[in-house]
Amino acid sequence: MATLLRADLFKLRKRALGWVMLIIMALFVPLQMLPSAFVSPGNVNYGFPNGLLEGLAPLPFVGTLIMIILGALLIGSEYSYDTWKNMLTRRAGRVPFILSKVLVLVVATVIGLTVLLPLGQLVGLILQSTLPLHGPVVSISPGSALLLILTQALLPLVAGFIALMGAVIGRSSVAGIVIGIAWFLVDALLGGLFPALSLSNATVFLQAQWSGFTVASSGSISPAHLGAISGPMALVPALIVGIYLVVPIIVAAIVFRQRDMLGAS
Amino acid sequence: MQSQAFAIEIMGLSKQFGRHRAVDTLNLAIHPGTVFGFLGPNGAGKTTTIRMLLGLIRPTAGGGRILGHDIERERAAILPRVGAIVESPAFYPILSGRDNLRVLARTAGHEDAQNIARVLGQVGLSDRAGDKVKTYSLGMKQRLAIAGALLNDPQIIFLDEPTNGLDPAGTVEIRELIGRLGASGHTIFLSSHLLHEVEQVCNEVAIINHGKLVAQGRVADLLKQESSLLIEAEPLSTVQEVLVRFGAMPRVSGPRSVTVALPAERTPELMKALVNANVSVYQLTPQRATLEHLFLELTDDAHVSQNASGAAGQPAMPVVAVGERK
Repeated sequence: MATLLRADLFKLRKRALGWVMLIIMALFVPLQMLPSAFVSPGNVNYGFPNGLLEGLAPLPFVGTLIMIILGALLIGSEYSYDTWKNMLTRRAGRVPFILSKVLVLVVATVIGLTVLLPLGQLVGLILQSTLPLHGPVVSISPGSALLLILTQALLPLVAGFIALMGAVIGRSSVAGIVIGIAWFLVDALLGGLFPALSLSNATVFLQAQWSGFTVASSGSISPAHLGAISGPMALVPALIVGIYLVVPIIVAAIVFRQRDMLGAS
Repeated sequence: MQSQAFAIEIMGLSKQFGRHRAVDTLNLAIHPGTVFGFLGPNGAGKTTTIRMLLGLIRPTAGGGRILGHDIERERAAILPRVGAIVESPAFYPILSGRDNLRVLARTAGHEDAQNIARVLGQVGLSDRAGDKVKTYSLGMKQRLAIAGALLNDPQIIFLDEPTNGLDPAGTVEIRELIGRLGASGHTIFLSSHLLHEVEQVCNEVAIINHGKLVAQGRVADLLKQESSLLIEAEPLSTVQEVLVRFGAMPRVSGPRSVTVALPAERTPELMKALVNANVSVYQLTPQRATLEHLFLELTDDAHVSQNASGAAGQPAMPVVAVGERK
């Protein structure tokens, strides 16, 4: 499994597209911070840890789209190059191939966070020292900050899993991207119609419940004002997140395991 | 090398795609160390058979064993000991040849730079190993695919049309490589429609058509069985009468010539009979059978339908099996 993951990471590292996607995402950090700094300097403070958490700003939209593309390509490119036949004739089990791709998405998320968070803080410190920014500093414990970061990464990660599942089902990158974007839109729609079923809502709820803060779509951090939810209902968001994390992987693994590999048509 | 009666054993292997039966109750047994030619026209079921043997697709019925292990349940024991090219070579175009092999080696769970260099040298790609595969010709990709199949020093090598797209020099190189691999004790399962190639490198062949086995045996024995005589003589009607008495089926091949399949040892007897029947014999020439002739004979659909068995579920062609191993 470790060598399989190394093989997949090697391919990702050699692929220019992966680096381009990372750069695009990184560009969105200053792009999302600058307008706030210029428009309302009195409400903004990019000192530590605000600047660090501002690095999360691209994740909900740009990050999600990029993970959808990546998840779809990880599987779809093997179909389009017809390289599954090379890999499946070298290793008996099929499920490890899917798990390896899943782990690549996790690693890609970690790499993304490793780049975005320091970048957010760096840009923040530059802006803080050059502009008269004097908004409030968020007082947040390291543990709460970590929880915010992890929960904020859930949406793009799950989107990547769903795109990966879509690519397995449709045997192509395009199918994965379409299914990933469709899910993204449906999740946004669910947020309005059936809030309890939306991953975005569940994530915000968990952020609020666990850290006492939420991250707005602009990336700014604000204290949460939770209504009184207690008892079994408080477990629903965690359950929703769990289902979204696990079900796409299980479906992808089952479909891939059962399927005949007929080769490129 | 572990000793098994058969390196590859296929028992009643079948694959149905919807209403199309791609492989139909195929039975084969291949001894270790054999360079085995698997012949058939396009769409005959060669690649489907290889895909089933390697676990890429599941058989609808039947099964098989490779090196004594069940092809469906014991793939973990089989795959480290086989190498394969399945259909056209497939690689990541943005990676170099060496990096593609590195990915394959890592996928198999072992990476050894020296081993990669060795197989690249074996197929003559050392000089271009650092170039991206998208700059390779089809022939170079074929050679890289063979290098990939050799990475784990396999006991059995499945080669599906390995000379496709190669120029004549490349074809000779690959043929020699296959010969060397066969001579060093590897079992080679060579699927091809290039009969000349197969005839030169294989010591056993099987021919399939429409998913069914139509012939199997040692190349020399199959060709011996197919050898014929060209008889140029007059009058032709008397020649035909004599040949029918011999139990042979003459085919008229010219105004005063017929071709007939007859064992070489009966030639003097036939000659005597023709002379006794007052036939003027101008020429009696043994015709060397080729695998190509045998292949066309067995896979020509018009011919097959003429020979179709009346019994439902029976093969359209009787299976030619010769050269039983002792």
